[in-house]
Amino acid sequence: MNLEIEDLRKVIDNRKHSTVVLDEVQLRIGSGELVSIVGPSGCGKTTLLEIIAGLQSKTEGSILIDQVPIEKSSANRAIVFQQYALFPWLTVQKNIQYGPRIRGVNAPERNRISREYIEMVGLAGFESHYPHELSGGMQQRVALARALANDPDILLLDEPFAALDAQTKENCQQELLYLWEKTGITILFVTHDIGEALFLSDRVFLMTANPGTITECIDVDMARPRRHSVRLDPGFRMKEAQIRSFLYNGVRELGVDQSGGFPVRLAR
Amino acid sequence: MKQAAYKIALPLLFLALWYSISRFGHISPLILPDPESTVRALISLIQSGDLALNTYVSLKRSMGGFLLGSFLGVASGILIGWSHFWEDFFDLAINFVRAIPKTALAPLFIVWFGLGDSAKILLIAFSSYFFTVIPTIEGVKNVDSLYVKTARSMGANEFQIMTSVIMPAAMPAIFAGLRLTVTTALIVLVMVEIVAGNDGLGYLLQEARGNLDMAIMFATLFALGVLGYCLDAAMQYLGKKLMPWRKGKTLSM
Repeated sequence: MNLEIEDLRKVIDNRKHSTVVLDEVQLRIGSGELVSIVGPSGCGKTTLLEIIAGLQSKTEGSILIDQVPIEKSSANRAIVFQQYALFPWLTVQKNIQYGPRIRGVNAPERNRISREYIEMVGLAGFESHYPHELSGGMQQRVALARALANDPDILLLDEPFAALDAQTKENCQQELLYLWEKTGITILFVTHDIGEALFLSDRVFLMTANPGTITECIDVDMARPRRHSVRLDPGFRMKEAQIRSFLYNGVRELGVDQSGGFPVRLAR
Repeated sequence: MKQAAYKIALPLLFLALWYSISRFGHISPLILPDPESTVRALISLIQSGDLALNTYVSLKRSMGGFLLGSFLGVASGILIGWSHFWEDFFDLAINFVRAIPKTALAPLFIVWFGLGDSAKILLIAFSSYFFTVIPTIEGVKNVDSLYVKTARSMGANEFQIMTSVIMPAAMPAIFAGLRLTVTTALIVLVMVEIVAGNDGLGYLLQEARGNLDMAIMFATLFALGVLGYCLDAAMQYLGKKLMPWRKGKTLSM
């Protein structure tokens, strides 16, 4: 599965004025890669992800998957949101079976699929729990399992761990790497957490705002499998500092306070 | 056990108050019957079969109207809440007709549909429609768009989104509306039976007034209370059965 995005542009027209949300976005992701997009809040990361998922329309440019332009949303591009978006009226098992069920997969096969992914995300024993009975980390694991149960070519993750506490977040990151290694799936991960992006990714794309565009691509050549101790590595910390300075400069040039994502102090 | 005692305290207090006023208050039984004669009237209504017959007639009318009206209310409410086109199309009409008190339409319905069951059932259906359509529209509009996006991203078509996301997500709001509607169906029922009935619980009240039989009137009011309470309890039970995920989800501790 290759994802190629060329000169993507997204303009949102309001009654009064139009806003260029994304402009000249170029992005190439190879099969089985895990790449991240890092950028401040409001830079258009989520819009980009939703366009790839087929949930929003693009204004110009092309999005190709294996040389074929994408059309509307489809089960082969699965998206997971920060707020989990589990269906509260379905149990864990039924949530995971949702995708197969709407595709018309029969019951025994659905059960096999949900068993497999419940096992994979370590939620055996919680099949008949409702989402509100689970912790945030468990809910996000269900959301991951639900996305994977569609056997997608690419997994689009929109700040999936942003709402979790630091420790749960690190566990979830480790588990995501485990799932990725086990399934060999392509992952596009959106976050505003530089450390998270570096820890997970093969490559990190940097995005700046107004209009949202991808300005840099940074290769992360650290060995896998990775453990959280890699964060103490001098190479890791240098890359982290490098990305931070890129993003700060991008924000400073614009002279706007993007404090939603980063603690930015404007240069005097 | 303690909770049960709390629950029964206030009704017992009322009963004691009623008893002492009717016993020691020198009030004519034409104004206020005492509890014993009310109980006797109730027993006589049960024994003669009048209570069962009239309750059956009333229940048939109110449930017929409720089911017809609320079915149409839920079905059209889902459509209106889902599509801007239908919302704009129906907006003025629904809000205008809704503003007319439904009881004010009783004379019109009687002229159009006569004194029989059809006028009563249609009037109850008419009012039930408006009491369900509004909460249904609101419930559908308030469905978290993230649920819809999630379903769509997994390849669900519009029909599947409607049945597997919108309907369950809006169900708590719809059910809250249905619960209120059952109660209002009884209100309209009694009113229309008082105005134009020759049977039913509303007619019993009217007849009791004509006969100056306050004990029968109180006994009938009690029966109406029991009926309304049971219908509400049935709706709550149905709600719990249909929405098991909401069990134990409350804000209080």
